[in-house]
Amino acid sequence: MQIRQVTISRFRGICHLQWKVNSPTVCLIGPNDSTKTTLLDAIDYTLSSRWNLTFSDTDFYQGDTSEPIEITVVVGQLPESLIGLDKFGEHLQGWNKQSGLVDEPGPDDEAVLVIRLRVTASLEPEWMVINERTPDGVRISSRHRELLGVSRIGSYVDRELSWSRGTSLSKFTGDMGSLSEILAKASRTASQAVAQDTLPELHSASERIQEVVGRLGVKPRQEFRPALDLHSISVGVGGLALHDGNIPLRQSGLGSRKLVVLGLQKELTKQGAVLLIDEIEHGLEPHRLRQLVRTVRPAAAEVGATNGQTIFTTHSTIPIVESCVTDIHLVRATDGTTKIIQLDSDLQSLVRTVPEAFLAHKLIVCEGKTEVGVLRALDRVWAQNNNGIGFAYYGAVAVDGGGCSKAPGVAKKLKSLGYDVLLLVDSDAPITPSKDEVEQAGIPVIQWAGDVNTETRVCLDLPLEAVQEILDTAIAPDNQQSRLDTIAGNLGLRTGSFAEPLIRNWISADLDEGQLRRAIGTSAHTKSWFKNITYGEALGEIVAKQLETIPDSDLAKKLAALKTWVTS
Amino acid sequence: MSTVIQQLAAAKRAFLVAAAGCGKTQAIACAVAESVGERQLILTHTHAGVHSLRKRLRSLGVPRKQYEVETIAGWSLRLALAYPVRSGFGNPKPQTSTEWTQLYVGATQLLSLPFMQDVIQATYAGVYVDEYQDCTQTQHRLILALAQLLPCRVLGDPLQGIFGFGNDTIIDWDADVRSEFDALPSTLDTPWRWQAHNQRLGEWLSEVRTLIEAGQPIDLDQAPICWLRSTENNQRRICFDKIRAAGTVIAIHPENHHAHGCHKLASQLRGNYHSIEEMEAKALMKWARQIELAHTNERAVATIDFASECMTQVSTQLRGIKDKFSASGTSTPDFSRIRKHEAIAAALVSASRSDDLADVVNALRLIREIGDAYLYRADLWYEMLRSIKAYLAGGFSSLPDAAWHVRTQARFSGRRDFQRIVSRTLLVKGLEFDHAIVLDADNMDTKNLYVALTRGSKSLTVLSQEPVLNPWREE
Repeated sequence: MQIRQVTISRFRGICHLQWKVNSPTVCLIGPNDSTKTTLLDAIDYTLSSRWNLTFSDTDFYQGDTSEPIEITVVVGQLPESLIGLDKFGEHLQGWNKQSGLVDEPGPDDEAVLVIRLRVTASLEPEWMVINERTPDGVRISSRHRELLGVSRIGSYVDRELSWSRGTSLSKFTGDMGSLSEILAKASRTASQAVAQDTLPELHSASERIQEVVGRLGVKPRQEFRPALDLHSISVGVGGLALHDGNIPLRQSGLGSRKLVVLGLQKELTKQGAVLLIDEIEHGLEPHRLRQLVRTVRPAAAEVGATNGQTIFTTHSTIPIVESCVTDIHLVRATDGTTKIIQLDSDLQSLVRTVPEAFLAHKLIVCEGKTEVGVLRALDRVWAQNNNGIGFAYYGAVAVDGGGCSKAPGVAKKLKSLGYDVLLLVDSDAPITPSKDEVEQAGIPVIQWAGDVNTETRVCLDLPLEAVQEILDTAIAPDNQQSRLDTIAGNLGLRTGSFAEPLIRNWISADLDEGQLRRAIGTSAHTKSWFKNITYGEALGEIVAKQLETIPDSDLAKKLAALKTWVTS
Repeated sequence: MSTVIQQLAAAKRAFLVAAAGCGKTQAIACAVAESVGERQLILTHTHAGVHSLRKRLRSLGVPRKQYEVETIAGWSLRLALAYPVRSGFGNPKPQTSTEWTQLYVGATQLLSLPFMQDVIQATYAGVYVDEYQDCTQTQHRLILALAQLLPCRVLGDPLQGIFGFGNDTIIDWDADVRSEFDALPSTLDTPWRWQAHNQRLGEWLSEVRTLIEAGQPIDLDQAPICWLRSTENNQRRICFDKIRAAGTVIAIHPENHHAHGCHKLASQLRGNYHSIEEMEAKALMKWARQIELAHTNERAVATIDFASECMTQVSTQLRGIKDKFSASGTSTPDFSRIRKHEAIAAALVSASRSDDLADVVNALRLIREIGDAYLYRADLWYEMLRSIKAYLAGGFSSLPDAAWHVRTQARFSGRRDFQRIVSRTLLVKGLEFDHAIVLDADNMDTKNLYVALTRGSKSLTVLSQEPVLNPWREE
């Protein structure tokens, strides 16, 4: 089975949601209170076989019970056991990849069941299969919902490790035949074993009781004796659990328990089960989590063939990195309307390189790695001086936009996904889309004054000693001469003009400081001295140390504006 | 028989020809019983057929989950109405033969959709179609669509393929069935129906079948039956004579396309034989419309006319009353001087003055009590009374609507069991009686003759001009 669409009305924090589900694996991410768990609960309540769900007024949106809660789930890839004419064969609807739900399936449509859970003020849940032909719907029993094969994996997985009815383990086992007969026999054997071995104290007590009540006229049919009450020790299938040696698996660590259950479930999804997992990372070390996410995802070859589906939430970057970008879905809730946004493949590299961006609120899209490095260093220094409160506290992350031709587009895209976005770009070349267009999308743009790139801005604004420090950072014995020659070249001088890396010594009547700063900045930029995050961070360290000394510089002002945006 | 059953159960796409009374129903039920843990769809044409199949399956103790028995019409209607857009058919009450034809086309169209194919395969493991000789071309195409999805076995007897007129032509066994299905290696040819009662008759009927198939004449004089030369009025005498016989009697009238002759004969037989209605119940629908649309004096007239259709004597005895109603325009006729049937006249006046159909029921009850008058179309009469009651109980938009419902219920509950019936072969094929009288056997074609001869399991009486029959073949 696979879920094709979920519609929710007035359930807990979700007043309205409509979500078309396009993939067999869904990774839901979003800030806290973005109603991710409510969404999983909604699906779970509607499709699971539980019939004894209890609802209360607080399950209604804003506690208002005047209108019913309605959760409608469209399910496809239906099991054969549900589509017979004696089951729901007359009540199918169609799912069209382009246009969505159609009342009667056409030649190119998939047959789907639309299952609606409705709870009115009476708090009685009612499960119906609906379509336009039978507007009142047809009841779907818990026995039939069980055939949908939906399982919810929370942090409490212990029950799943027993052979109780409906658990993963019993589903995995399939037909259990005469199990209950064997168990009843086991209970009887236990009772007999106790009867034979009972302590003499119990026997003498029984005899004394018989004597006492005999005086009251109570005559036993046989004799009073101690024995195990079969009723109290009766072993049900629930008592039968998976053990590791003599130790029940429920006593092993949470992570292990969870993995065992998920392993079972994964096998079931191949047969068409749907898995709902809240906080997939819970209780798992990174390497186990990584392995788990890889296992949960069907291999590319299986995607079309698989009948099952896995929907999980996470707050960890690991599932994000391990997921295919189109599996990742952002959950955004505003004023009761929850939107689910599926990422598209344009964002694949961003997902791989800065997965944490997708878990953040505020994104600073930088033109390139240099700027990302600089901001990281600044963040570190700010946090050090501010009781550890830095970007992370405000949910901000600097992101590599991939160059001046791409960064504005990335910024716009992220903005459209509902993030707060700021764009930090060089000003040596015009950007596309234009600055105006980007700003119109609600994205503040920070560009250095004077049509210069970042390296040049830094070299122009920092004190000369700091520029010297930058040069020192950039050069090493093996590249010293070539880098000095680059600077000379940028000043129109012949190679070998500078032999020693000492800026002060280069200043002369023919060569003023300004020219020199600009030449160093240009050289750093064109020869990519800092175009990698580590070198960028080194550059940022130098900038951070000096910012307070140059409060009126363009660099300091722009970076201060950036900081204000982050903290606002 | 067990070989046939196993072959039938295992067949993927086969036909089986079964002569009348040779255990076709038994064979289907036994084959279904073989397919343990699967569900078979069994389709036939009439509700009587559905009943006898269900009864046989129950008596064999076949689990209810193992089969579904339906008429082709009922099954198609359910399927088509479940998806009216895709089937292109949304009429829950098809009546004309054009509408029925559209239904089968719609259901066939539905079966071409992948989703419906999945549904069918998830529901059934195989299909049986009984009385296949009665399939119309559009029903045949529907069954062929099913045969694409499921193992399909069709059973029938081309010699019993008689039918009324309609837009939709009936299949030709040789051209349509033999080309699409494989013959089952074994056949059903033991005449079980006569085994216990009249074994010689059973054997003779097997010979007759061979003769008919070979186009040879049939000698009645030497047969283990009662043959009589038909004369001007011995038809009635023979029927009256048979009233004394124990068991059920069918008198088969040679007229095949019109009911008139049957009704006339039944009226002459003074209520001892009933003339039954065809399944479409055109008369019931016609009279339901007529009675409902008639107001004031016209309603009284319609009531009398309806009663005259069902009973002897009414048209003569109530002529005076009817004429007065007809002559009075919209004013109430004066019956103060009437000397006979005063109560009926009064009841009819009430019926003409009110719009309440309960008054019509009242009048009909009183008419029923006229001495010397015999009811000979009891089917039509009682279904009209039931229709009016159903309409009065509410829930129907009109009297014809209620009549349609009553008729549908009757289809499901089967025919009323009348002890003696006058009818045409078309209405009684597939039905079994103790005694059969074939009136005027000279004028029957091979198929009608074969059906007529095989209706009685204990005795057969045949009237004809000559003792040797040369039934004409239909071309």
